[in-house]
Amino acid sequence: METNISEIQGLSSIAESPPAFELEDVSVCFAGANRRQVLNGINLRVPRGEFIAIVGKSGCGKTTILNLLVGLLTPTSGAVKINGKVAIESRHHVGYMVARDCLFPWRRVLQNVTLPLEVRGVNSTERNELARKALEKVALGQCLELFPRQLSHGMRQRVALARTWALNPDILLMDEPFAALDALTRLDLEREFLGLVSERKSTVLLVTHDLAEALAMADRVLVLSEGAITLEQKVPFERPRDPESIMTDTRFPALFKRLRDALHSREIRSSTA
Amino acid sequence: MPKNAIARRVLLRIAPGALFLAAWWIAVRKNENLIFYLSTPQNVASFLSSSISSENFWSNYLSTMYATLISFVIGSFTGIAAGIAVPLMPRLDEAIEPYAAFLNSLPRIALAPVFIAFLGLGLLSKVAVGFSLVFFILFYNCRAGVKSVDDDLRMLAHALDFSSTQLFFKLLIPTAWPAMFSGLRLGFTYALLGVVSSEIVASRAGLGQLIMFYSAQFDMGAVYGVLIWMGITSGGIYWLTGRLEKRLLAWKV
Repeated sequence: METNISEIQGLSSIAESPPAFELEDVSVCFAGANRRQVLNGINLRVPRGEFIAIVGKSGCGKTTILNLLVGLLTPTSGAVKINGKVAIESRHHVGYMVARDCLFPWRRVLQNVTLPLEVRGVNSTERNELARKALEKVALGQCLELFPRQLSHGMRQRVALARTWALNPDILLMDEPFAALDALTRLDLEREFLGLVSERKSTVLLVTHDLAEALAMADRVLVLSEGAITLEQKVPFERPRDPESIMTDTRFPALFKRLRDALHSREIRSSTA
Repeated sequence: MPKNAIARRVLLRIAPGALFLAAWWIAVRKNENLIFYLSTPQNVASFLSSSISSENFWSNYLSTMYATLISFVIGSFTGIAAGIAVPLMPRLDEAIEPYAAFLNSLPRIALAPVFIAFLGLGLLSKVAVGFSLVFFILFYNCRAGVKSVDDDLRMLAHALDFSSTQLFFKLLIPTAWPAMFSGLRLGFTYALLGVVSSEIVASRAGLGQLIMFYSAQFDMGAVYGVLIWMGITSGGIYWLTGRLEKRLLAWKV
């Protein structure tokens, strides 16, 4: 009984608290010589704990959304909020990961993972402890003293994952984090990542051009095309899940086709316009 | 490494030198006129062994090395400071670029008479020539290093909310460090070059002056002997700093 009540209370507090992040009618227009509308009136609410994926062709504005959330960019109009506050003021809650591992080559694996903690002023014993735990999670507990150049691509991306993780961010922003990896390593990392996410109940925004990856990982997939959201697709697969088995699920082909058509139709319309 | 391989490597390295000595020895035996220019291996060897206990040689040696060290230290410090500070101020960087390029392209030995006229025949003029070489090496190396900061790492630093001090010490300096270190290695060799050239133009003491003195007397054995001492010193330091570089820059390939 007791557990039930607390569960219900937990649920209601989730419903009342502000969404992890939201975009309210956000438009971005790049000024200057190549002036163009990158985002056009985007509305997006992501509740705490949701895993959301944005798919789209290159140049559709995917990365712009991430840059808004990280605070590298301010919207031309509209508001970007993280935990109910304007994005730039609350950068601390956000972890960021991109296709390139961006490890500092002069730092050993452990020191790379402690870097964000160092910047926040966490003391050395505590940050080494946190970093070591994060690295054990991604199966690199034996590689603490190696330099990045001594690692394979997959291992380096794992270190980057641990670095993002060590900060314990509420919100994870991932820009094609697995794009540079070979298929097998990629599947491994996707699986590890999903495991970590469900363990911590983090909110994740994954930007990818890979529809299968989006369906395998996310709760909701948005198709972004020319700066506007053209399709919003709930993903019916339950958690915890295994990204590999998703692709053999009977519901998968239809979902995949829907997303692909959404990407495609817009393309045809724009080419006839 | 197995013993066999070490022996082979030592042999490989000694062979060219031994061949050279043999050729030299045979050449001056076959044609005695050549001794006038080439001296003989025995003469050079006897100069080297007598120089070890020669007070005159060591006072000249120390005079040169002292000036080299001073110009190296001052040139490095100022070169590094300027090489890091200037590219952080893009306008200043742009403004001084043509002047720096002009100064750096001057053959510095040609400045020796100017320095000597201003600063006299003593330590200062030698140091000035050495400094004028070392400074620009460090300046350009550090400048290039600071400018080579990876855009993606800079972006990450921004996303992680680095302060400007953190940006400087955690990203800028480590990025510039390899270029800075190779500048320092080169710098010592060039400091010696500057000092010795200045001594050759005019001076009261130093290895450059010693070379002028011996060559005026056509004592080529002694000239070669002095050259060997300079090579041993400068080459030795280059080798040592190379070992150091391997340790300090273990993260590089």
